[in-house]
Amino acid sequence: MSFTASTYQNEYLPAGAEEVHAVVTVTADAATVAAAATAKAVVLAVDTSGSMGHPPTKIQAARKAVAAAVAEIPDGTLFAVIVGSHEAACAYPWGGDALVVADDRTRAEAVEIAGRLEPSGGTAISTWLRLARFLFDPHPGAIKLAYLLTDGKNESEQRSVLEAELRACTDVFQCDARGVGDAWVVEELRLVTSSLLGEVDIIATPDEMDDDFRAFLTRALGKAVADVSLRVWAPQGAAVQFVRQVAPAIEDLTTKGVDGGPLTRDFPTGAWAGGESRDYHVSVSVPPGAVGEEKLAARVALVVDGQAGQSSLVRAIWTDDEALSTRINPQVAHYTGQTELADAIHEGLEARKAGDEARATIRLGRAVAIAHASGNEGTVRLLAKVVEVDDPASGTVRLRREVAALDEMALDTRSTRTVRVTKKG
Amino acid sequence: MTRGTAVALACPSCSAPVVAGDLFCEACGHELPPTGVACPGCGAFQAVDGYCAACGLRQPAPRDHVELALPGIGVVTDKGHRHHHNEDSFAVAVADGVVLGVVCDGVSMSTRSDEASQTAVDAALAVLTQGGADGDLEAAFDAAQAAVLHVPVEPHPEKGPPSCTFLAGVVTDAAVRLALLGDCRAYWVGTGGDARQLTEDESWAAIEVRAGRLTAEEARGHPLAGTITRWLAVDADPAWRPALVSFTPPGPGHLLLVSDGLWAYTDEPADLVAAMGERTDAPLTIAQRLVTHALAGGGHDNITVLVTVLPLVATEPGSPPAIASAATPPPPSLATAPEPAGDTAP
Repeated sequence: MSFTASTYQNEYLPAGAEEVHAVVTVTADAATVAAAATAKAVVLAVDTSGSMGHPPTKIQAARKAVAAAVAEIPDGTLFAVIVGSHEAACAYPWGGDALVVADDRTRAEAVEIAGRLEPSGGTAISTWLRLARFLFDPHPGAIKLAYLLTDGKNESEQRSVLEAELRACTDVFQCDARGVGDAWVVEELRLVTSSLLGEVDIIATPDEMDDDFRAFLTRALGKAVADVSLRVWAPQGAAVQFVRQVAPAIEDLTTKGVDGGPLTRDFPTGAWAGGESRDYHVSVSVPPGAVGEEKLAARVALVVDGQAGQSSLVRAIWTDDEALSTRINPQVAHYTGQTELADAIHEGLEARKAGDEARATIRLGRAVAIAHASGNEGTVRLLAKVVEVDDPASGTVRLRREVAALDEMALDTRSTRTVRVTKKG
Repeated sequence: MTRGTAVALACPSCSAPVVAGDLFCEACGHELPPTGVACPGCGAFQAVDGYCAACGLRQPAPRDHVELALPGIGVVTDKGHRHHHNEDSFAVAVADGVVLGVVCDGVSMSTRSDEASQTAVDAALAVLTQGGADGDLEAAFDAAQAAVLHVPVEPHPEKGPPSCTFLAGVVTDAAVRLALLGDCRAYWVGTGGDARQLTEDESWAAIEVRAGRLTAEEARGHPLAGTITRWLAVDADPAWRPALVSFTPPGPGHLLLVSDGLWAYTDEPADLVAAMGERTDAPLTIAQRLVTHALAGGGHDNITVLVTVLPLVATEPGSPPAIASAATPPPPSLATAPEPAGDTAP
């Protein structure tokens, strides 16, 4: 697999400045397909707690969605279906403790079992993840992706139990999470997906489940290379302030770094598909050089199996020319704005819940203004269901009196989605 | 010749002092990198991509400052004070009765323009040396343009593809032939101190001045003063051909091929003559003085000065041409050849 990396930055700093910012766009070669030896493994972990039966359309949709997804798993793919409540079990292979290889027989058996899923019990997501971990664990080289669906709060266990299990699952598999309806907790599922390099989303009504399951499968099977890391070298005396994925969605990777050699940290990014492109915002503080001096502030490359690909250079040049040092790089400015957008939504929704209407209005208004200015139309639409927008350019808004819980959760869930810099003609 | 900075070298393992070129540390036996070149910032021994592997400091590049003397010729190129790479380049050949010189100025608002200027001067000189005194300047120009197209284009949000200007000269005692695209300049300075510019800049400012829309003084201070209108690059208009100039030297004197990093500080020919100092000095000394003058004036751009003394210094008939460029200094035997001092200078 080959990756190309390009750096966008203003490398010119005023005398004495230390902070260097750059956006690095990484793109996987479009021609990349998984090596024949790379196994793919998928696990569907479906909530079968008692609430899935109220209304029964939820469990009915889940049965249908699991059956439809399983039927499309290609020959040779490793898979399993987990049913989860306050405890977890393999629905397929029934009562089993290992992934099975997809073929006509196993697919048919799994489809048949999907139709018999019955709701009962509470919700303890750590048990579902633990079972998935045991199933994935014997396949270290494989591309391993799980899809977790729940309709409720993780109420049958302590938060710390979930956190401990997530630490154990890190580096074993990736996990997307979906909440169906409006009785689940966005922050809980975001904890799961942030820890396990996945994405969180809302399924507003059960009838959307079917498409979303299949979309996951397409995404998972499109991955071509597992366990890719973003490698960041920074010079002696420098400190990496943050490493943040900023497109397609914001995900702070700073605390996930592991030692990658002298002066080097590796930040896990999970599996990549051919042609996939992501943007990272890297900030490094470097000991300032004299005016006229140039330093390498960071070298960024993607690493697969310990092999680093083409690296991208982040430079720092100290100058007394203000025309150079005050220039703002459009990419860095754009993603700084998108990060502020996500923060403003989060803070605005928190303030709204806490009854602080003044702060909620200010923060959500700010969010509208940034989303509007950056062309993030998807987020503008989600915001407009929570606030009345009087003037999007200035961010003049009024809180809506009646807001559907689903709309508020959709905004919260999707607040970290970004758009890329609009190309100027 | 590269201007180096004296630094104290230390063993990367035990920090004991070591001497450049040592293979092992005398104190602890630690293996030292075979090059033994230490970072001028921190003394570490390893560099990757031209940057120190420890402190990140950009390592001095050979082209930051190059000086060269061939019989009857002196060349100096310098990155100046404001630019961080030397994107100017030159190539020069001295054969029996002819001097061939090329100066290209990499465009700063384009990527890899240092590579563009280097490949352009090399390609042009290769063509000129085939013809000697009959060297085909237009074919040399075409070769330079073709070579620039081979420099990889890096997508960049603000900068254009690899680009450079072009100035080439075929110089004999009887005739000077020049080809120009962009804003490098050729000057003739006679023994009496009479100086004249032989080329017309292909720049926005020069066009405005020639059209009478700006005075020379207004053009100098204008923000677009440095904007060129023609260059070599993948986005160059195929209709852009070099301006050809022929000049018959009236007698002994100096021919100068220079980049705009010099003439920004010697725009009036009288300033240029003054900055040359004692013109009976060796051409390298004159070139050094001119570069020092530009650096003292601010050094806002890369500076290249190629000084040729006329009449040309006689070389061994039939001997192969001496060839050198900013990236490939001449063999030591030529570089250390005695300077043709006062006896050949006017």
